[in-house]
Amino acid sequence: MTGIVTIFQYIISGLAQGSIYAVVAIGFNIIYNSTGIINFAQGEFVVLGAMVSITFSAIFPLWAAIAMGIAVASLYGALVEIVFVKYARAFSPLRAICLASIVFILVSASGLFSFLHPVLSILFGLAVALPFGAGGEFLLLRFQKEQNVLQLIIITIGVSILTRETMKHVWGKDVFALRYFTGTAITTISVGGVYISPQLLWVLGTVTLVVAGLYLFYKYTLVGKAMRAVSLDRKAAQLCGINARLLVTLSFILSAAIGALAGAVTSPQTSTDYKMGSSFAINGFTVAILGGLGNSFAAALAGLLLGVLESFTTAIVPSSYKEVVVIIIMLLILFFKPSGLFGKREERTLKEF
Amino acid sequence: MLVVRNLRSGYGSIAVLKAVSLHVGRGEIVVIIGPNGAGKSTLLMSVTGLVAPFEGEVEFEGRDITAVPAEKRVGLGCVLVPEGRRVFATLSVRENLELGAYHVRRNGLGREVRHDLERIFALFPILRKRERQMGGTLSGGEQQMLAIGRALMARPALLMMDEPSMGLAPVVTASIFKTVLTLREQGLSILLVEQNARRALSVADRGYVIETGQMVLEGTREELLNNNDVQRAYLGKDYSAINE
Repeated sequence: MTGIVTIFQYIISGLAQGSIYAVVAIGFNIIYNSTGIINFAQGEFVVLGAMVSITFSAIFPLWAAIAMGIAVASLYGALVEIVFVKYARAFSPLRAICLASIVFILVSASGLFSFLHPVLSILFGLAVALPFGAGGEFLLLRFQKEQNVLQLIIITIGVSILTRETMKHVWGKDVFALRYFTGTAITTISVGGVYISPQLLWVLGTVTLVVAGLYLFYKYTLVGKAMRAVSLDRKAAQLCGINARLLVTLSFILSAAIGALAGAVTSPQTSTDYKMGSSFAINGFTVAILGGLGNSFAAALAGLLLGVLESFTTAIVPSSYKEVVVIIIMLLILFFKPSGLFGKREERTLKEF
Repeated sequence: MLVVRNLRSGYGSIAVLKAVSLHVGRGEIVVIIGPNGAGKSTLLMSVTGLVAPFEGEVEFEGRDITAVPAEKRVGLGCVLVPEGRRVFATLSVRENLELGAYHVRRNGLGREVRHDLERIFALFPILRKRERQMGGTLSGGEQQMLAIGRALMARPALLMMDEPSMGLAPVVTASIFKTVLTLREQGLSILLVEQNARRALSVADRGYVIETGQMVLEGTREELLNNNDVQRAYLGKDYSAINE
């Protein structure tokens, strides 16, 4: 009897861990679907959302803090897209402003002018950021050709590093956690001898809502269908009158928002530090291809599956090997079933690659 | 309806079109014929805004649209059926058609989309049968009908078509060209790019011949059909047949 209970306990903790992989993978899928880009900064969106929520939770009610975390991460997602992905033929004031904001964030985070009065330091930050924004825009215009997907993927790796290091300056190297939504760390609900933290129910509920919401969004709303069209053939979508560039920005916002939400709901149990994003990205990517790139429902299943597998692995081999297991799974899938466990063959043959 | 003036256009630093001008009047069917690589598709892409011209102007219904982004031009009624059809392969036939009406729905005319859809199904009954099938599973001819249907859902005033006969069986091509005539009767202006010159000229009011990025000839259907160079180069008659 106790054996079975232990197994369930492993499954439960696996589900908790797997949920975040699932949501990160869904974030990958959203951006992949509209641009073909694998956004390796996805893990940083998760951490950013959690960190901002944690900071604000000291002053505001939990829901408001999480809403702010989501808002900040979404804004950041849009910023990243506009600066690094959007391709402009003419001087784009919007991109210049976004570029300036990124420089401003960097300057503020690095504490370059922190010895001055706060107002002065903001002014000095702006004085540095604005010329950088305008100058950067001209440089981008001069040198940026319409990039291919591979270049953009590598840019996202750069963005990921930039974001991580900036977060290190802002929040330091400490580990933080959002407070539990219901009860505390030791509150549990017993289900047939298996102890479940109520937080796990929050996590699973959130994942379910996200998956269902996205499914309905892509399947039934005009904008959702248009996003699918943009992912299949951007030019043909534009010929239908669809503003593809706007929808790509929207997909970054959506992806960042979902990541931030996941970061916030899992933070009480898994804690958050500035450098967690990269392991989220690797595991999330594994899950995305395990389920079949582009398929959010499959990503959710694959995420839970990987979480449970990982949880059992740690029962058998030292936990430092669990990354190895993840990577072995990723390689096996890439070798033997690159369309993923749940990839539909029919859709596969109709896709370009 | 459409006036193109001195359009110079191309990709990167390579100019494909060298000062091309043309016009399409209301209710006219105008064809552009020319060999591979002459710039026919580049010309249409420049009119849609997907390729930015280096120089020149595009005027649509009296308004200069050279700087208007591609997606907005669709809303103005300037719509292209692209080369190679480019239907959304993993979206259903119905979804493909609905997306054609994207700006119609965005402008709050969603109620009228259903009515437009019925019109398309009346024009191409096979699409109704295939309504739930994925676009990519259709045959070439059906995909062409879907591509035309999708463009019509945008309520164009000018319909541009890039090589609609490409890769299709002659009987299917014939029915597509019959549709072109039907659409003109319904008041559309049509700009058609074709390699199948004989077929294209058979439905046209006027035509242009484009070679290496320049318009080399312009005329009514009869003028072009009777032109020796056109006969030799595009209608498959050899020298002896022309000289006799």
